Amino acid sequence: MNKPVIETKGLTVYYGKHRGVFAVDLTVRQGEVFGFLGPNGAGKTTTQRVLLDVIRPTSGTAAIFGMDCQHDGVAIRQRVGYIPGELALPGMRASAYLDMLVSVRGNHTDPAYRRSLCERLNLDTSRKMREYSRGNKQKVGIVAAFMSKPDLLILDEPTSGLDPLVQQTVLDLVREAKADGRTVFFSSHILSEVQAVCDRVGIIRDGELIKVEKVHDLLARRLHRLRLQFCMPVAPELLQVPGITVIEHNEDQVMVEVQENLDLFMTKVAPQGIVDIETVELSLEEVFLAYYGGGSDHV
Amino acid sequence: MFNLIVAELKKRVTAVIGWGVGIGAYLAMIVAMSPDLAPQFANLDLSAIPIYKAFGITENFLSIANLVAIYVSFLGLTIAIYAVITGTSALAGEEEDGTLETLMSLPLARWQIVLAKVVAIAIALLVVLLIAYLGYLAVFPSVKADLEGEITLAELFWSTLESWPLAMMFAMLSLFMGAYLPRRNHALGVGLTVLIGGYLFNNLAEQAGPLKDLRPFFPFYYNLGGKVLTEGVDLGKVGVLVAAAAIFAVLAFLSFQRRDVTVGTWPWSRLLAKSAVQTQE
Repeated sequence: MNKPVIETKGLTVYYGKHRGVFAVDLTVRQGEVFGFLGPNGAGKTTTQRVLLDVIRPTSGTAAIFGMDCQHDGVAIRQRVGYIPGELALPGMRASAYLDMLVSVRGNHTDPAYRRSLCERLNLDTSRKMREYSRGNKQKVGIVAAFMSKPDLLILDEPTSGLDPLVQQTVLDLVREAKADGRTVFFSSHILSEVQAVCDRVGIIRDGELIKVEKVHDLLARRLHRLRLQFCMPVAPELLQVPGITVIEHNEDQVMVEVQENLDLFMTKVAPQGIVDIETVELSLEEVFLAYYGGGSDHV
Repeated sequence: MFNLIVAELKKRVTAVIGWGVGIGAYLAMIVAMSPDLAPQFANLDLSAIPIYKAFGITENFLSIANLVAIYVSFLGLTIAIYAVITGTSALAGEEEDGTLETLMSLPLARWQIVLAKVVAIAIALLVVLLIAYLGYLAVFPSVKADLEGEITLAELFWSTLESWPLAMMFAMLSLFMGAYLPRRNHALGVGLTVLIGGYLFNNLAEQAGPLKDLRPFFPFYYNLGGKVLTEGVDLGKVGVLVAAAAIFAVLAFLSFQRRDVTVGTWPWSRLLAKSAVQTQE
C-alpha cells in the first residue's frame, strides 16, 4: 500500500460552540485522486483549511507527507498547490501575480509548462485580475495551483465558474497529475466530476466523515432500480418484501429499489406475468443522495 | 520575501498617491495663504472660541511660522486616518476579501506575511508624507519672500516627516486589532475611536487642569506636529511613538500566529470550542 500523503486522526474543529468537523480520520494515499464529497456546510472547506494551516484544529491531528500541518506548514505548502472554494485574487496583472507566486516558491516552476497551462485554459495573463470574469479568475487559480507541479493538489470546487470545455481541461489536468504519480484531494459536490477522475471518495456530512470507499466499489454496490411491466394489475401487498422499496406503482407498472431479497421478490411477483424488465442504473449522484437521505446508519 | 513586499506595495499605490496628493494640496494651500491670513488672525483671541480650542488652537497667530505650525498640526490627524485604514485592511480586510487565504496557501510562515505587511505599510506612509511634502515645494518659491527668515524648506520637511512615527503607531495598532478582533469593522472602530477620541481629548485636556495629567496616555501628546517649526524635534516623544508602534507590531505578530483565519471569531471562542469538544466527547 502506498504511504499516506494526507492523514488526519480525530480531527475536530469547533467554531466557538458550533461544530465544523468532528473526529475525522482520513487517509489519502500517494498517487491517488481522492474525492471529498459533501453538501455546502458539511465540513469540506474546514478540513482543507486545517490541512493548509489557515485554521487550527480544536483537537486531533492533521499531517501531510508525514509532517504536522501546523508546525511544518511552510515545508508542506512548498509541495502543495491549492485552489480555494471561494477564490479571491488581488487586483494586479495576472502575469505579475503568477511571477510573485513563482518567486515565493523559490522559482521551482517550468516557464514552458506555465505557458502551456495558460494556452490550454485560454487565459490572457496581461490583464489586471480585477477586470476578469469569475471564470478567468478561476483559470488564474488553476494555473497558480498546477504550474509548479506540486506533489499534492488540494482542489476545492476547481471547475466552479468554468464553461464545460474548460471544465474538461481541468479534469484532464487532474488525470495528468495522477499519471505523474502526484496526489489530488478533490473536493466537489459535482458528482459526475468525482466519478470521472477519482479513485476513492470520502463522504462528509454534518462535519463527520461517514463513508470512505473506492468509487468503483461504491458504484458496484450501489442500489439497483428495476422497472417491471406486468400483464395485469399488481396488488400492493405482493410488493411488500424486506429490502425492496417501491418507488412507483401504477397498476401494472412498478419501479422498485432493490437492496436485498431480489430472488424472494421475483418469486412473489412472477405469477402476475412479467412482460418486461428494465434495470435502471443509479449514478454516483443518486448513490450519494441515498447516503444523505437517511442517518449514518443508512450507510 | 522581497517580491511579497513589492506586491504589498503595489496594492497600495493608488491609495498612497491619492492621500499624498490630497494632503499635499492642503499643505500647499496653508503655506500659500499664510502671508495673507496671518494679519487677519493677529487680533483674535482664539482661546475663547470653542471650536479652535477643541482642535488645540489656542495661541494667537503672532507670526507666519506660528500660523503654519498650527495648521500643519492637522497633518498628523490626516495621515493617521489613512494609517488606520491601511492597518485594518492589511490583515482583517484581506481576510474578509478572501485574498489572505490564497496568500496563506503559499510556503510562507505567518510571521513573514505580517512582516511584509509591516514593511509595506511603513514605506507607504513614508511615501504619502514625501508626496505631501511636494505640496510645500510647489508653492514655496512664490511665497518665499514673505516667509524668509521664519520658515525654511528643511524645517517644513522635518515637520512633515515628524508625523510618520504617529502614523506608524496608529497603523500598527490597527494591524494588531485586525489580527485580534473578529472583523475588520471592529478593528476600524477601535482604531478610529482611539484616533479621534484621543485627538480631541488631548487638545481639550491641555486647557483643563485636572485632565492635563492624563495627556501622556494619549498618542497625540507625543506628536509635535507643526510645533517642530517653532520648538524643534523632541526625540524623547518620537521614541515613545516608535516604541508603541513596535509593541503593537509584535502584538500583531503574536495574535496572527494564533488566529483561525477566515473564521472571524472572538479570541475567547477557542476556549468555548475546547469545552464544547469535551462536552461532545
